[in-house]
Amino acid sequence: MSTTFTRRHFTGLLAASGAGALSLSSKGARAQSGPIRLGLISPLSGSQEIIGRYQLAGATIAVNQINQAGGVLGRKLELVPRDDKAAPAAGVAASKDLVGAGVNLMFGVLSSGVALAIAPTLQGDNAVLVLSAASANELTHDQFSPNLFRISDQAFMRQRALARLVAADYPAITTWTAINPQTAIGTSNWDSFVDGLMQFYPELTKKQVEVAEAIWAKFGATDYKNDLTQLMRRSSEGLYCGVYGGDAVTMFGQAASYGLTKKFKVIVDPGSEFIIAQAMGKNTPPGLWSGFHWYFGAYKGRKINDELYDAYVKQTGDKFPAGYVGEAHAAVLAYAAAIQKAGGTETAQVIRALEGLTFDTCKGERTIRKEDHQAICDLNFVQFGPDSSDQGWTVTGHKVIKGADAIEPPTPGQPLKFQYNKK
Amino acid sequence: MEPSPAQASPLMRFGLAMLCMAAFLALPGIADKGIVFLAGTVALQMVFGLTWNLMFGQTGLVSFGHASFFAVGGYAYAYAARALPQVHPLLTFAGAGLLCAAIAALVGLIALRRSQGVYFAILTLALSQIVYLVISSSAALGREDGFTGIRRPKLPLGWTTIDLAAGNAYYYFIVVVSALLAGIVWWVTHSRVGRVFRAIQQDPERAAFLGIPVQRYRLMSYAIASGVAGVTGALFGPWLQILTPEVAHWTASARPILYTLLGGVHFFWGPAVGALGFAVLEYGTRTLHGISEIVTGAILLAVVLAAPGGILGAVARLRQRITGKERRP
Repeated sequence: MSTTFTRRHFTGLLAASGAGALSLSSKGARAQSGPIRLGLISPLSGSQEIIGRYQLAGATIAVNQINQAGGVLGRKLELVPRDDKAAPAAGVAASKDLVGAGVNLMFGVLSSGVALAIAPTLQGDNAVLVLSAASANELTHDQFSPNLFRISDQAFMRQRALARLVAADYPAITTWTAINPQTAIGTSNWDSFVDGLMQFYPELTKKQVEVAEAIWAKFGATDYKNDLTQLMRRSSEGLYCGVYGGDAVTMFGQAASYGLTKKFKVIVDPGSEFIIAQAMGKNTPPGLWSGFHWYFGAYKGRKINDELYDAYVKQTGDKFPAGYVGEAHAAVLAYAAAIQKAGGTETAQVIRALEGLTFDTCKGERTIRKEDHQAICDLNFVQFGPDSSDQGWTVTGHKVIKGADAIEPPTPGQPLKFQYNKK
Repeated sequence: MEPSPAQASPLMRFGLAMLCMAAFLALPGIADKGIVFLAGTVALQMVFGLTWNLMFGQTGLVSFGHASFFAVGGYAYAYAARALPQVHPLLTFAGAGLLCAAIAALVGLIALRRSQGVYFAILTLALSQIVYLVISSSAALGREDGFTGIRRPKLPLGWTTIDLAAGNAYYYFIVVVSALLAGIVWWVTHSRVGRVFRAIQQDPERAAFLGIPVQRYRLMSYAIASGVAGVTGALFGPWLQILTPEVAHWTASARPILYTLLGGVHFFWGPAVGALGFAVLEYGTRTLHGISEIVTGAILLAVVLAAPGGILGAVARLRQRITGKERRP
């Protein structure tokens, strides 16, 4: 497909941001009048590079847009990307490298493991990290750090919002089961979804929901036959497919011959975005709901959204930007707004400005809670189905759920407690 | 290895090692935080590399799963430090190493009897995959998300207590302990036991004929190497403050092999030099996103092809050419 984001585009983006990398040699010798340097920590090589390139694209676009409009406090922004290889040790090395070069404002990070590794080092290094993808609940709960912020959603609110969506749209589907990967995020996603089912079905439909034991598949499995056979014996009507990314592609590929997509009346997925449809083409499960960090189609007509989408398509030729593009873009906007508000770039100033900050982004206004540094933001879901076009699939619908309806009360330093799912 | 005319004298090598340690200790004063963090990691990797070569270079054992002991040591320390915070941290570090040595002795007792060469290599690879899977599916160890919040301990020394969480204290602790561990490996290699090891490496059959219990000594080298590797893993946990299953991944096991090839398999300090060289390469190419692995790989390949004896081998040949002396066969 000619619309995919190729390595050449990626290299182009890197060249564009190369100046940032080179400028690091003149460490720390910058006056207040020089550019404001923002460090992007993202997987720019390895298996997760396919997502890192989206973060880099979104961040690059935001920096270019702000600079064209005159910068922040009369200073230009400069992007300094660093590769975390989606590995905790490389992530800490990247963050220390940035701090050592005098970059105290950082953002990005895809993997929660990397975020959890960097979080405890931030205070000692007098740096700020704005997360734009890592979704582990602990980051704004047990492992809360005063120097850590998250402008994207987290597992709990996304999965509960998904549960709210199915309770409102499919009141008749009251029996659910799941196939999940045996990972911490797999467990935490499913527990959060069940928590939402148990709250929203009684609240919205006055019906009790019945949840059957989930099937736990190996993470990174290549053979799902046993799991699928088990799944086909379940009497539930709704399926939560917690298996995500490349695993979901493998599983759905094998599921076609079992008629899995015909057996279940509703299938939902926590966050594979376009991956399943793009890989499955004409075999895309009809009616599949997928969680998105940001779905551009839901905000058509919003200036920030449209300009970001157009800039992304122009830069890469890809017509389907993943949500990571929008979230990395929003992280740069958060810094721009905070620096403007603070009147400077010192760590303490920026932290104060980010706390309680309301700023506009491609998916609407977000507010960063002062207490736990978690943003209250929209949650996006997209429904897919097969069609007769060349690509073989189409978006058949989308939903936006307000973050305030799904988020838990802030309890920084405390583990997240489920209100309804008492296991 | 016997000192050859082409190699530096023992005194000079000791001086170089001390100079290297002094450079590590002086680093926080002259370099930024990014480099200090890398240096701490490299110090541990240098010792980790030395332990691998204690098996390979000394007794001819090839392990493809050495990282499993690094991981077991790391997770064991992290778990024990959380469960038993009243125990002296030095005891916990030592305990993690002893646990690894005990596991290696147990595994080696069976594995070394049945297999050698490539069979042993595959067995260790399988063992490391088991360790990897157990860690990544164990809820108590944090599964794929990792064991988080590993604290840098307070070190009571009787007359005073050093807070290793403060400033660069833990970095200095890593450098000093790494030097001690490297000293232990050096001592083993250069002791009578080390000479027996080398006899086995050169010709196990002849060694057995001379009355050396080959299996017992191999087991000993496996246990010592694994125990010391476990301590380096234990030290790494509080350094990174998180441990994820990737520390047990086979790619982590490949690292000491690369270090040894790069630095020079026939030299005691080869793996340490290799680890340092590898880190310099990685740091130098860190902004070449996407192609840094290709550049690193190409340079490694070039070094291995151009200098089969590794960096130290090349240095020795250079010295030989300058001094014009023949190296003893």
